[in-house]
Amino acid sequence: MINFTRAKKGLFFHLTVLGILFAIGLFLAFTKSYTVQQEPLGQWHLNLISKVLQPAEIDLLELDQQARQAGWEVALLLAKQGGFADDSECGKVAGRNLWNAKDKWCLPVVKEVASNLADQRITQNRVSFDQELLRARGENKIINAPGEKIQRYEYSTSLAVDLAYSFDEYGQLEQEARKLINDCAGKDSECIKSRMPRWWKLCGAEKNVFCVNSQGRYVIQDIPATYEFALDFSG
Amino acid sequence: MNRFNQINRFNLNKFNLSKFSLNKKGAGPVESWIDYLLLFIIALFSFIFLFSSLSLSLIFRDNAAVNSAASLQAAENLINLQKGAFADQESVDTVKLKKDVDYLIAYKLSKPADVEEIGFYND
Repeated sequence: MINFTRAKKGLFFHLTVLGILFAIGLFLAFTKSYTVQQEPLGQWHLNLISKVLQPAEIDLLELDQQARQAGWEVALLLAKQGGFADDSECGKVAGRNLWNAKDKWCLPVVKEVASNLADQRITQNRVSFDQELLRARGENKIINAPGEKIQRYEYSTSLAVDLAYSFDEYGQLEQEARKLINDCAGKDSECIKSRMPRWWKLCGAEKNVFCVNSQGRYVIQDIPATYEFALDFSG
Repeated sequence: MNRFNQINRFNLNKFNLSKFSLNKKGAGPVESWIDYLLLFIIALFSFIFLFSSLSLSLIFRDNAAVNSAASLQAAENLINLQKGAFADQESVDTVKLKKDVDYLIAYKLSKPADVEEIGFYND
């Protein structure tokens, strides 16, 4: 009888220890914490960088690149067309837009023309040119990374890109052109040749069609910026 | 005196060491010291298994995290290089950049060692 009582006490202790071990085993099995995990620590944070931040950086770089490309295209196009998006109201000479017809001046505000043209080429809007910078307003973009936990990143696509080119050159060209017209209107070609600035060149045989290399020596994608336009000296 | 003997007898009964005797016959299920030893060994191995698993898990995850961070850093460097090129008025192939970055990220657990040799870096 005494032996039986002792055995019962021992059995209780024995089962308790086994029960604890079993409970630990059960806990590990259900929580799966006994498995050797391969995924890195800080997975959420690493994913945030690789799936959200870096794609956003690349996207912004791409948008900047598109905007700069558009700005350069517009700059070269306007230089080729003498600052006009289309044909000049004053007419054309040898395929070049006339800046004036006698006393009437048709040269538009080139920065506004450039803004409109650039606006059509990029996804942003309200394009403006400030010295050598192209600025534009863009909408916010959102990246939602797939996964168990939320990763949402919102970023602005507004931009300011350095074109390394300024539309301010047209202002100086216009001043020089007005002075030349004042000096040589109604006079022969010798007056034009002698009075035109030394960096101005005549394009071909025409006496009033000019190809002026950029005073700022701007080179856009290996192409020197050359302004082509015509002036009317008949007044 | 009688009282002292009673107490002494009581103590002997309470801490009766005879039940741990190896020579004892008819021991109960856990009355033998070998049962306790067995339980101790089971517990010991369980804890060794548990903590070695957790340690291995941490080591593997730590290595994976270091590799991932290295890949991310390499991708970041690549992006920064292209940003620098862009700032220097050079043209940037963003499609190729995206592919290169994806490649680096995809292999973050086993980044190829010769990644520089296949043209990911421009220097």
